[in-house]
Amino acid sequence: MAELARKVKPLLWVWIALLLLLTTSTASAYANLGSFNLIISLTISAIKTAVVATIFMRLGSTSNQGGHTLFRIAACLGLLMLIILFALSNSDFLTTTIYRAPWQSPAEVEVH
Amino acid sequence: MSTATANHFPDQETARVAANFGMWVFLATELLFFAPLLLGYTYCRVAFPQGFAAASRHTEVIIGTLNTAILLTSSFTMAMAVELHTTLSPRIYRLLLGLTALFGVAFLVLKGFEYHTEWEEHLIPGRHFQFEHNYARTAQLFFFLYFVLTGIHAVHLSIGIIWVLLLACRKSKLKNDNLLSNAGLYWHFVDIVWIFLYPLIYLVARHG
Amino acid sequence: MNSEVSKENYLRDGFTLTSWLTTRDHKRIAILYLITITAFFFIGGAAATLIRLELATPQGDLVSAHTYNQLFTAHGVIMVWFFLIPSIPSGLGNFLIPLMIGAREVAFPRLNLWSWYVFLLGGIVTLTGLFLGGVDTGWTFYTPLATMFSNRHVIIVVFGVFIAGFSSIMTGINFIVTVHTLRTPGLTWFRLPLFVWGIYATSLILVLATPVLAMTLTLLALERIFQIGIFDPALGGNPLLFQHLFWFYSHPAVYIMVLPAMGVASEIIPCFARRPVFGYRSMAYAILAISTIGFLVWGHHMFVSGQSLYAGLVFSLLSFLVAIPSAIKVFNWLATLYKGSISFSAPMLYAFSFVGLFTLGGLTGLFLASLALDVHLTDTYFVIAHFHYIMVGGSVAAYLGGLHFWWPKMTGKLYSARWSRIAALLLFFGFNLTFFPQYLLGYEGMPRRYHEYAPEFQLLNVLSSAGASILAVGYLLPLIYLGWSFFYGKAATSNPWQAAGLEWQTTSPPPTENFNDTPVVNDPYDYKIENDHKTEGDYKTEVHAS
Repeated sequence: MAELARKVKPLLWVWIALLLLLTTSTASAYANLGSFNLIISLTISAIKTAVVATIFMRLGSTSNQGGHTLFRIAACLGLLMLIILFALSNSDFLTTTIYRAPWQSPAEVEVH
Repeated sequence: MSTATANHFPDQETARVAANFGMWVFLATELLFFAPLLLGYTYCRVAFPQGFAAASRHTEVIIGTLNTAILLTSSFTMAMAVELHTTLSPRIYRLLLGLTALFGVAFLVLKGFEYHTEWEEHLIPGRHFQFEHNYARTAQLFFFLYFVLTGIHAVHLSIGIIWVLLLACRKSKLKNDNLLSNAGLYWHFVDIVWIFLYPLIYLVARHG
Repeated sequence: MNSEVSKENYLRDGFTLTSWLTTRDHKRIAILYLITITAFFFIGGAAATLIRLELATPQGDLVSAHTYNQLFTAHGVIMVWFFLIPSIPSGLGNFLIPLMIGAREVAFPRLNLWSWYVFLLGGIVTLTGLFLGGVDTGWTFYTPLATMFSNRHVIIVVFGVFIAGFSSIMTGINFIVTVHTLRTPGLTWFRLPLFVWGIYATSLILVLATPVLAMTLTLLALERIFQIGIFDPALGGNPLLFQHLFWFYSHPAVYIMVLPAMGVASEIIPCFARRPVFGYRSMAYAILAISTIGFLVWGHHMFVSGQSLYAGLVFSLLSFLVAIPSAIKVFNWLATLYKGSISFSAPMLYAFSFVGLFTLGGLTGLFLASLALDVHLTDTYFVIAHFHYIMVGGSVAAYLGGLHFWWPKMTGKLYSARWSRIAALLLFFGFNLTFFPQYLLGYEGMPRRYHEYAPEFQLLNVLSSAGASILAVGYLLPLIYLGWSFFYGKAATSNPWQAAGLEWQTTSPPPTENFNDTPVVNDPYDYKIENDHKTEGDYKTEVHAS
């Protein structure tokens, strides 16, 4: 029974934390915080992800606990690829000026 | 994804590491499978912040938030099943798996209602799309991404549900099973995808 | 038949079609792949034949412009996805990786078989689309042509490629897990043959890049079906989004094609120079460096597409960087020959072709990586020559070299030394005659993907088409003499080349379980001329006798 409780407690705490983080992100979205809204919501998502990955998915566990270094490497590599895709693509998109065609009326195509 | 020890592995532990490692590599591919959608979303949102904000306000935030809570809870029951399956009685183990699948189904049902609502409000991109004139084109982009993202997520979730149900219905004796731990990894990944989709879809500009 | 006896030779372990189609033996799956990709090679080659026939005259007289577009698209799609990408990894790699690491099987044998079925399905779907009327967009499917304006069977072909992509991913996962978990005790990473390193790095690319293509093609198809999407500028989308996503996969894809080829060269050259490979560690690190930097350079396909100049500078610089590890490898192959005892066997001739032609192709890649030069050279025949030097002069040569090197191991038969050398030389000569003129054509301004051209380009085009006919003979010859050897060739011993490496410690062909006795971990490049001895099983004796 004690062994059961020992295994269940971290999982329970994670679940509660996840629901609390969800509440926070939803609530904060209703406050007008400008660009911080995005930062907060994505940060909360990142924290939720870290918690799910580390504890539920045993990414933080050693081989004896059901994890392995290789799992961490695989996860990091996937994330790294995502970052590379975003970083280099945006090095183009954020440094390009798009010229809208003269016949496009401003109301139809948003100009920024 | 082999069960137990295929006879070409030197021992059980190597077989377990191989099975789970294979799953992790697969999850990395899944992350990159969603990546183009996220890049497209990023591009469009940076280009059209007001259009995206306006479109996001038309999403069903109550269903979205409820669905997020459901999926997070399903991750909890799944993690319990994986962590405790050697300790628990088979009945409780099957109950946990069944609950996980049930939560997944509940998510899909609510998603169905949500899609139906969007159809009624003429928010499906295409000929019948209607939106306030200023942001009509960019809102269509938003909803195109919305349907593709949530649709592909729903496909992944459905596969997960079937997998979990198959595990729950297995008659064979419980053993240190790699199929189960891999199912858990897959389920949590589907949850993580939704964890990111939720704010990107529902919380773009809830204020004002 | 006694099951004990049949298991001694994987080819005899079951003669029924079912035993082949339900096999979990990585060696049989490799054979299945080899047969399939050979078929695709000749289909893609047929398209190339028509292209070169058309281009023998300046006028568009053999086929219409529209048909011509379908031909080069078919050629590209089939050759890239259904020949080059699976060739060495799924063909040779599936056979050799477990043997080279002393394992009985790959990590996931059933996944391996499924990967072949998925590949086959993808191929059938793609061929259906091409047969129904083809696609005219080029293998690159650029938007908005592919999404909005092409009236051909884009979706079917794209769907076929999408399916085949999953075969790549399955293969990649299998190899990665296999190399990490199933190396025989004592076989550390830096005792692995470089072929294994090459396939491993290739597998990293397979799993990390292919999914991006899968989603990109999905988005392409959705935009085509619904006429809504993120690639359409009229809606606020951006065609460059497609190009970034497409090339994020397709550039690493060319490293999928070349890294295994480099691995093959690293096995053949030491064996036929009787010298250990020069700079083993730097070769391994170079493989990893190429696969890493290869992920960072995709924008060099978009220098004139509307990409920002700033991004162009970044991609140009990174593209120059990737040449460095490639050059290190070329120098090391050459250094391996120093003070060696060189035999000009067919595998060695192919390996030499590989090194020389890859070098030429790689150098011209630097031309194209220079922003200013690329403005002049892009979309001309210079680009076509460049990538054919790498993919055909490089990868296909290495593939054929590997096929010839490991043929005795895979089939237990020896082939004609004379005909194999004739074929290798014909290929080298025919290849250069076909593609070197194309460098000149491109530099002088002949655009690619045009079925007609200005009359002043005709001489070089005729030379190129003549070369192609020699190439065709060169490709058909191995079918004949290798096929003949399978049925009538002399039996090979376990190590006809006196090569090092664990695969040569077992019989030719190997038993189903790969090794009868536990293989002894050795140095895979343990070549010393003074240790060479003429035995009954010496290849020189055997091969010359045929």
